[in-house]
Amino acid sequence: MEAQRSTGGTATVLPRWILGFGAFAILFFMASQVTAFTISPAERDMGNLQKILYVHVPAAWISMVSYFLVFVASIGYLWRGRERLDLFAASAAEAGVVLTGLTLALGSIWGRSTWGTWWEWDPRLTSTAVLFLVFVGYLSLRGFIEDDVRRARWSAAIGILGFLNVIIVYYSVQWWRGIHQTQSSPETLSPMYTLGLRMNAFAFLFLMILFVSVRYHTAVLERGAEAREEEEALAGAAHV
Amino acid sequence: MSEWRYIGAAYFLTWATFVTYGIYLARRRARAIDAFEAGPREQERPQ
Repeated sequence: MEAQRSTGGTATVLPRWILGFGAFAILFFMASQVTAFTISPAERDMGNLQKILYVHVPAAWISMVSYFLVFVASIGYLWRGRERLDLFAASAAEAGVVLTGLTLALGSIWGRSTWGTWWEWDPRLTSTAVLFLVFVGYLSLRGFIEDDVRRARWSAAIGILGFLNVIIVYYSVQWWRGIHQTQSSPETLSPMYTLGLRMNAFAFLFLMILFVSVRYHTAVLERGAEAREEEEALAGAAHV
Repeated sequence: MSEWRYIGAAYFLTWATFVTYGIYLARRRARAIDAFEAGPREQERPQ
């Protein structure tokens, strides 16, 4: 374990709760995967293919939670102007992009095995692809803008507008007719399948919290190093 | 393809995604720590 080093309130070691929580999240994820895989019996129509839903549906749900965090942190940044809220929003956006990409890929595998096609321009699929691209754009934009304040303001604006697409994704199966089924929830499932779905939903949530926490602490460190470089450059310019 | 190949592909992809992203986060964090600690060490050197 590296020594605790702190400069200006920025520690280079992760808080202890993240390490403990991370170990718990990984073990819980493994237990959830084994549980979903072993206890759920073959479904009458889908057979064993229903096991794909224990990873596809939680990935979709938790990506939406990630974007909700982006939305809240972005509003917080525009309201309070705290840089750390911008860094938190960006960290949540990155986790959201990973989960949405996974959702699309798993949905494609599901579609091929049940609908006979890898992709269909269905409202749910298309709106999810748009959501994915919007937040890939959000992350790309952050790499293009050098000025911190402008980067944070533009990111917050896209984070808030991008979240509106989550609402479209969620209701797309109700607003428009398509090939994708309507929302799954424990109430619409047989009790035999709810345990695996619930456990995996929490497992994905815990992993997302872990990813966002680690990414956020890394972003704070990166920002600290950048700020010091800027200060040194200014000090160097003042000496000339 | 049999149904088990699709199921295997889905679970493999899930694990591969999380492991790959975890490795990316760990490497990025290691680089950030190096960059963060480089400043004070540079300043500690005698001029």
